[in-house]
Amino acid sequence: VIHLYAFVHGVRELEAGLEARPFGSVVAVIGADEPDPLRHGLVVESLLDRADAVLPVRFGERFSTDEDLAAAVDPRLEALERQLDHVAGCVEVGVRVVPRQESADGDDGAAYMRARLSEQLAADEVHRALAAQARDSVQTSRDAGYLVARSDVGAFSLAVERLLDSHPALDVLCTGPWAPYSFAAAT
Amino acid sequence: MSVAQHPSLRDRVTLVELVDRVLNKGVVVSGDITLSVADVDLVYVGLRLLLASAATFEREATG
Repeated sequence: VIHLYAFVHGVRELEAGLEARPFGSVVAVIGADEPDPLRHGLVVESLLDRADAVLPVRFGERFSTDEDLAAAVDPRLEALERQLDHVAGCVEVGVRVVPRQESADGDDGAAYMRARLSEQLAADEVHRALAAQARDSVQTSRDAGYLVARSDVGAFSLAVERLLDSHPALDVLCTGPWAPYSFAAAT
Repeated sequence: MSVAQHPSLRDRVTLVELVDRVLNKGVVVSGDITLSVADVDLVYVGLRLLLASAATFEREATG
């Protein structure tokens, strides 16, 4: 069995059990074991220190033979190349707005809706400010992912802290830096 | 940001986030995602772990 972990550019030494399989300039990192989701995630994160660009693959991509792997990868090389260039040198920082439990306790429907709306407006404001400092960003209603150059992570974290200080009503969970999963589109 | 001051809780949140990413995001090159191997449903086991952790997180975050 061939388990696919990620596509990379500029990969250096890999840990035992992993193999770099080149498809032109795109390199697939594969392994012969069958990891659980946690192990898959830890391998992908470890690649951040071993490659110039890391494009994570979703858990569960398994192939029986080298031919099956090639048949799946070859038609997508152009898209993979483009995505690798986009995330080169970058990590992802996640910012999640956590709902406030106490504001949902009241039985006044209008007050509840006002609280939700102001929470959403504040979250949008935080997102706009952070997106301006990132190379790219994606936002769902409460989650946002920011593509940040590795050398800018310190400055970006400071920007998050400053924004939180100016929005005391928001509960925010900041995670990362991660491999850039949110910028690895299904192809 | 009480999470940052609670190492064990922080570690669990990180674990949940990591597994969440692995299962829901990332490049897909095959149309056929294999979610179970040798009759053992790994993702199902993973999701139960995830749900248990998320419930614990919510209890501690609001308690």
